[in-house]
This record gives sequence, structure tokens and C-alpha cells, in this order.
Amino acid sequence: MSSDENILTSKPELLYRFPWLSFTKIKFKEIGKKNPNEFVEWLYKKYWDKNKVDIDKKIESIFEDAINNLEIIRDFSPKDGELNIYIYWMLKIILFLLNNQNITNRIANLYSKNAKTQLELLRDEKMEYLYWICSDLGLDVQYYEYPIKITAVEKTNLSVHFIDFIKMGINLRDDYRKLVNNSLSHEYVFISKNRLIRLLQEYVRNEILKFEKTNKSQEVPKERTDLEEILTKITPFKITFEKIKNLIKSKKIDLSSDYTETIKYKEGKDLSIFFPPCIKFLLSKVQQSQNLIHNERLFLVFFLNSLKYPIDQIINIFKTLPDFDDKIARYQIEFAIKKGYSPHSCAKLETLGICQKDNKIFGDEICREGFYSRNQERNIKITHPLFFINVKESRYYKELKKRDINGQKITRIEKN
Amino acid sequence: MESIRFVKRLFQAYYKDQQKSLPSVSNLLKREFAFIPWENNIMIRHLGFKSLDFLTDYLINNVPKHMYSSASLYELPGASKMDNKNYLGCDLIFDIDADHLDTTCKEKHDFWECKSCKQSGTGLSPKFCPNSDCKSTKFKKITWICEECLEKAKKEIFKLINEFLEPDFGINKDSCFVFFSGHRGYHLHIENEKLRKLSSHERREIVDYITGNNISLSVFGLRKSDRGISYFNQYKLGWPRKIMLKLKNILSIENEVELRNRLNLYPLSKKQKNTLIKERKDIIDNIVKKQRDNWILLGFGIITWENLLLSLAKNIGADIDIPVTIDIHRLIRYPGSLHGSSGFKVVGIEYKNLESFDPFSDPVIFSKKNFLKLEIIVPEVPKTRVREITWGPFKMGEVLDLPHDIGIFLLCKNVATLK
Ligand code: SF4
Ligand SMILES: [Zn+2]
Ligand SMILES: [Zn+2]
Repeated sequence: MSSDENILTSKPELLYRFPWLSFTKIKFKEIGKKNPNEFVEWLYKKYWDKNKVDIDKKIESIFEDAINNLEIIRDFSPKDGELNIYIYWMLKIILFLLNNQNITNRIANLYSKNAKTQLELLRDEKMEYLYWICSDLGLDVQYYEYPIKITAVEKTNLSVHFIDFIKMGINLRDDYRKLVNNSLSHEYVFISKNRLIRLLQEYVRNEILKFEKTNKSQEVPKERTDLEEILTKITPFKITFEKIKNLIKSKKIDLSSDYTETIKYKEGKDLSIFFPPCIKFLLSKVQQSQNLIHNERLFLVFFLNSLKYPIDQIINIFKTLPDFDDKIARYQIEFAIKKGYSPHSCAKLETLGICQKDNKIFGDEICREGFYSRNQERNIKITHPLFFINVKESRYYKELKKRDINGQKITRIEKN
Repeated sequence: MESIRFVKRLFQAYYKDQQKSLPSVSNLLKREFAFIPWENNIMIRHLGFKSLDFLTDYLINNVPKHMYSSASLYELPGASKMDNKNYLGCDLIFDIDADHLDTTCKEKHDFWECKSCKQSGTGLSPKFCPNSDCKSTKFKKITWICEECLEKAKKEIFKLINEFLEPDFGINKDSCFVFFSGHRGYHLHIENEKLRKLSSHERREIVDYITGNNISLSVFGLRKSDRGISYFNQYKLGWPRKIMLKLKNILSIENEVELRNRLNLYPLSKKQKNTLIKERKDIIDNIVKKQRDNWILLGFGIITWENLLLSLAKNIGADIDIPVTIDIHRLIRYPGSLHGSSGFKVVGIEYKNLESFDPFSDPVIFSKKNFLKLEIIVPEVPKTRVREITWGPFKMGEVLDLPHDIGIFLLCKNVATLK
């Protein structure tokens, strides 16, 4: 297929269904170019003032659906045409203003599930539309006019470059998305329709997760408040925005994303500042109500338990998870604790993909490189997450002591 | 000490000689360099060089025992903290280390000696000293290399390229850079902009594919059904096909004794082996014709199948040293440098020359005409070939007049001193 027959140019209804396609930015260039405030003003004028379309109801209901963890957006119809695109752009602005990871996550979950449903509704036997959708997103895909057999019964017209395949599915933890369980040949993964749709769903989710940080006015937080000030001068927007904020408040969704709040252990020592990257990462996921896979949950429980965190605190941590069920969680956690399991070693955690020593935010040099013993002779590796805590804690107190003696802080020279 | 000074002088002469011909790694300015000196074991790292000339100057002036450069590219490779280097990407690296491979030769050429009571033995060192009065955990270990283990390492490199990188990942043989590490194995580097961007997590996906780790047989379709065991003979591509082909190839071994020997490598009882052998025509037929996707074999439940198929997979996978590929901050031996534990050169090998590459001759750079006198200082030194001559075995206290090529090797291996 050559690029001049891009069906997206002739099928705007696809754009209405999938407002996250990048072609929308070309097709609606003039509107996309507007400043956020110009855009918002223009939108309310066009829909509310002229046609009395309830934009705020639509947006509100998306937030409601998201907060209630629904599988689809109830008020979503391709028949709404361009409006779907504008609403998507509005979400972008609002999520940026709200700056709340938890809410962004829920919207991302909802919207991506909705995308999946819409993709599944495509009558696309030959996967042609899917091809154009993938190409639009910049994915390296190949189309085969005559389907390629994956098994004797399963066929596909599409393959995805293995790098794109890996990148799209890397946060999914099911066995289906693992490269080793897929049909890889000559750089490309031959992929069935269903599995591809699942990856596209994940793609959409990740796109929306970026909303919170990227808006036209990128500088945070000053510009974020500036933008809020400008936009809330537009009365209908102000009303919508207030309603959403109230909705969030009424649902008691934590507006902060600081996980250490929930994890402070009052009776004993608060060790959370010494937590290793792997644990910090899991806690941040929990805080953003992203799901944890089984192994991740177990590890978190064993870990906190071995630091003697009370069981109620541990359960509290899991409360934000989408599929939380108090009784089941309590049972599972109590069971795990009774068994007295201790957390895995770093080596095991690495094979489970839980280790986060290279994580951009949480990664830690001593996990990656070890550290040197006092006489600088031996490089000691971090072999266990509990060992990490020991090391960090003892360094911390040594540091404090130094300060006590000399009255000021001494900078440590890392010799490794 | 004198031995070290002597070896160091010869290393220096080599580096002087190479002043104009030391190979450059790609993106030299963006790589971190690291060295281990002869005098102590403390790595000098976080160094960046402005040009190859500065690097060779450094080598001539400092004559390190080991030399490395980073697989990663950094904006500021010389920054003293990892976080300040500004990571730009990392080559995809595979390491095949004879030390990790399961070969029988280790029993012949690896030794240990208890540091406190001097008791010794062959093969891997035990956890505790077997001497019941001692029980020490500290051992002096001597690990050796031989034709068998380095040949096995080479085979794994071929497997990696021919079974995985080329057919599945579409990576052309000619764009793989293979290096002999100068001692125990081979490295393979792939330099490709898109691959360089992969995170450690994403690299794990490639590693899993190449090793067959984390295969899910149930994703492929293995399960219990009311008509027996459903399996997956119908795949055209990927791991299910690899596994089926392997099973077919094993069962196609005509000679029954040989076939039994092969089956002994797998977790099967005697009865189960008999069943497989008896039914093999039918099984092969089924795999080739891809008709039925059902198996009813006496004594083969789902667990047996799982164990069998997964151990077939383990056998198919390439035996790479996983952490090396996953780690995006690795330091790798520098091509053209000398390995301080062997005196051999780190050699880059084009794919077409890999078959004929001789790790006991091609990386040897020291003279066979100049001689030195040395004394063996360990209980036993295994037989070792250097170039066309096989030397040893030698015993503790032997004083020998040897050419430099084998002599330097023994000094670097720390089993002899100058006399
Ligand atoms: S090295 Fe260990 S402690 Fe550090 S992140 Fe990895 S698993 Fe956690
Ligand atoms: Zn002993
Ligand atoms: Zn050997």
C-alpha cells in the first residue's frame, strides 16, 4: 500500500471514532493551532451558543465514568463527529490543569478501553483500517494483501516491527504480549487482530498519561496556574472545571500523589525514605491506581511485612487499586504473612522484571554499581532489597553524626 | 612483583607498537573508559577521551592490566557520577562466557585450594572446605580454558546469530561485530540506532526470546482437553515451531541407542521414553502434516508434556550471559587491548572468519622465539595449547624455560613467577 491512498483522508468517520490519531492534527489544523483559551472559547461558542450541545455534561460524564472505573464511555458516539476530537483535546487541557496522576490514570484507563471497544467494532476483515491506524501512529507495520498464516487456523494481514511491538506492550504484564510468545520472523511480529488491538489500547493509554505533563504551555507549575487563570475567565469553562473538581472531591480521590503519606509507619520507624527503587516504583504505581501483577503484589506485601508494617497499613496501601476487594485482600495478605515468606533477592526480582535500578525516576546508583567498603577495597553489590535499606539507613545516620561533630554537613566523595 | 613489572613492560611494548593501529570503537568521544591497574584491583573509571591518540597515550603511559569501554553512549562520558553523564543509548551486547557453559572439561582443568588448610580438588569449589577440622569458605580458584569450552562458546555464538538474530530479528550477519574477549569467551555487539534506544526492561524481551525464558506453553495452546492433550503443531513461526521441529529432529534419530541417549537429557521416565520411541512415527507424522492438534500418549499427562517441551526449549535457546545484555551501563573489553589474565589480545572477528578463528593462536601476540625462565607456583597447571604447541601439564615447583607466548600466559594466569 502506498501512502497516497491513505484512507484516513477519505474516511473522516475513523477520526471521529479515534480522536487520538495524529491525522486529526492535520485534518483540523486550523483549530489545532489555536491557543488553549482561543480553542476553548471557540468550542463553547460553536457548540453551546449555537447548537446548545451540552459540552460540560459530556465532559463531566467522562470523568464520572472514569472515576467509577467503567469499561466504556457511556456518552460516546461516532455520530457526534468532530466534537469527539474537540472533547479529546479538552480532556488534554483539563488533565493538564488538574495535574493529578490518579485522575489522569483513570481517564487513560477508561479512554483506552473505549478505544479498544471501538476498534473491535470495525468491520475490518483484512485489517486494512488497522494498518492505516498503526501507520498513522508512526508504527513500523507491514501489510500483506494475502493473509499470512500464523497457525493452521489463525491468519493475519499485518506484522509489526519487533521494536515497536516490545515498546507498545512493555507495561502489559500478560503472557500474550511477550515477544517470546509471539510469531517473530525477519524483524516483524505477525500479530492477530485481537492482540494488535490490545496493544493499540495500551498505546492510547500511554498517550493520555502524557497529557498531565505536556500541554502547549509546558512550563510547570507557574504556567499551569497562569493557564488556569486565563481559562477560568471563560465562564462556561469555569463552570465545567468547577464541576469536575467537585466531582473529584466528592469521590474522595486523593489529590496529592505523594505515596509516602500513606506509607508512613508511625509506631515504628519511618523507613520509607530509604526504600529501594523497586519498592518506590511499585508504590508509585499503586498510588496512581495502576494495577499490579500478582508477583508485584506479593513482593510488596512480603517486603512491608518484613519491615513489620502493621497489616492494616499494608491493606490501606492496596485500597487504591482498581480491583480492590477488602476481604480478599485481607485474606491474601494475612495468608502470605502467616506463611512467613520473605521478599525475593535482587537476582530473582531482576528475572521477574521487578527490579528498577535503571528506572529514570527511582533508579539508584548503588543498585546499579554497588558501593565500596570503607577501606575502598571491596565493591559490595546490593543483593537484596532489605540490604538496600540497611545500607541507606546506616549511611544516613553516619551522615548525621558527621554533622553533629562538625556542626555542618560534609559532602561524601563517592569513589566508585 | 618482578613478574608484574616484566609483563607490564611487554604490554607497554605492544601498546607502543600499536600506537598507530589500535582500533577505535565507534563514537569514541561518547564512551566511558575504565581501566584496572596491575598494582591493585581498584577500577579507574569515568574517563572520557578526546581522540584515539589520547587514548593510546594513556595506554602507553599507564599500561593497565585490563581495559574497557562502555557499551553506552553518553553526552559527558567523563562525568564522575552516572546520573550526570547524560545517557544517550546503549549498543545491544551479547556475552557468551565459557565459564557459565555446562561443559565436562571443567572437571579436568578447574581447581580449587582451601586458603587455610591447603586441601584441594578439581571442578567447581565447594561451599565449605571438606576438611572437617577446617570448614573454611575461602578458596583459591584456578579456572582454565581449553579447546572444548571455547569451542562450545563459539557454537553458542553461531547459534545466536543463525538461529535467532538473523532469521527472527532480521539482523544481518555482517552487521554483527563478534569479539574474542581475550580469555574465556566471545562478545557480540550490535550497533543500531533503534536498538540503542531500548530500555533495560525492553532488552529483557529480546533476552527472553533468545533464551526461551518465560515461554508460556498455554499461550501456544498446550492444555488438557477431553480428547487428550491439545498442543501446538500448527504454528508456522516462532517458538512453538522451533520446539516442534526439535522434537521431530530428536525422534527422527534412526539409531535407537543414540535416540535413547538423547532422550536421557530430558525429564522422562523409562516408561515414557519407551512410549515416545514406540509412537515416534506417528508423532513425527503429526508434526510434519500439522493435522491433528491432539495427543494421547500413555503416561503423558500435562505436567510431563510441560516439562518435556520446556526442557526442549531450554536446549534450543542460546546460552548467553543474561545480565550483560540487560544492563545498559556495562563496560566491555576494548578491542585490540590485552587481557591481563591471559596476555591474549581482544580480537574483532568478521562473521565469515569466525569458523576458522583459533582462540589459542589468533589472539596470541607474544613471541615464540624469545624465552623466559619461570617457576610453577600452584599444585597443577593443566595442558595448554598456544599456537601449534601443547604445553604441560606442569607441577608445583617445576622450573621451565619457555617461549614468551606460553610464558606470559602462565604469568598472567598467576600460576608461575619469573625465576
Ligand atoms: S537492585 Fe535490588 S533493591 Fe535495587 S531496585 Fe533492583 S531489586 Fe530493588
Ligand atoms: Zn580447609
Ligand atoms: Zn574447557
